[in-house]
Amino acid sequence: MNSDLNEQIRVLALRAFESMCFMFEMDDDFGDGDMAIATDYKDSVVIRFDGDVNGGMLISASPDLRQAAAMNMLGTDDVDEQHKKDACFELANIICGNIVPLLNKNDGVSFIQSPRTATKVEASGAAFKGFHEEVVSLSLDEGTCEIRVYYL
Amino acid sequence: MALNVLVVDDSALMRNIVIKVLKLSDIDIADIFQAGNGQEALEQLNNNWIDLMLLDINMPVMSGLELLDIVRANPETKDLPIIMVTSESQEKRISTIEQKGAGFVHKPFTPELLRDQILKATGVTHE
Repeated sequence: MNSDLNEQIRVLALRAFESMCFMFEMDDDFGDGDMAIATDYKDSVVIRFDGDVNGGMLISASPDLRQAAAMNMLGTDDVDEQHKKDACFELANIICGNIVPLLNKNDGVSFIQSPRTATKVEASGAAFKGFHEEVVSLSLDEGTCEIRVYYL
Repeated sequence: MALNVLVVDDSALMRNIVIKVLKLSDIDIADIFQAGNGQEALEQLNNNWIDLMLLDINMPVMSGLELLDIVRANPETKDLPIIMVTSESQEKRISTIEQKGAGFVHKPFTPELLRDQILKATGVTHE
């Protein structure tokens, strides 16, 4: 683990959640979420990137966080599964777009693909065997989230 | 001057957020139009008077950069103020956008940042 990079990822992710979803970091003892990240790989979002740096970013959010993110981003309580997916896709897009420049070498350019639902192999991390890995766990006031960044 | 704004993003959710932030930005807005990709945006530009376009980059059918090229090549729209709203933050990619004569707002963004970029792009003086 690269502790500087890990902290930068944490700060960028928290900023995205604050700005886009009005969610804030909490101590574990005070959060009202269920403190469990997604257990179904279909609830994990992956974004691949290639070019100067190759890899991918995975976000797995707890069910309550997915629900609250969609509600806060849309400004309505009436959200469905597609809304939750869209909210996670957009958050992943923003977080990954901010992280990739940190990973680039020699001011190069990397191309970030569109977010999509992770496959089982991606969600387990097996698709990124041999890559560097950074894992950031966030405990927010509306739920929990784990971000894994793999890069070469 | 109240602005007619076209918001172009393939994510309806993101369009909703951009519009929400736009309304909080204290910019005088007349009408807000929406498009889900570059092709739909061209149709909106043909059918409506647009003063400002807020444009995502990565979209299906026609990307924001493709649309930007088309708009800049058209004598009727070549001077349209355009602000790219994107999570892209790699310097080389940003300079490509700026060379094409578009402003840039980086996600996540605040109403204040969006307002500053709109004032810069449109030349409207804010009182």
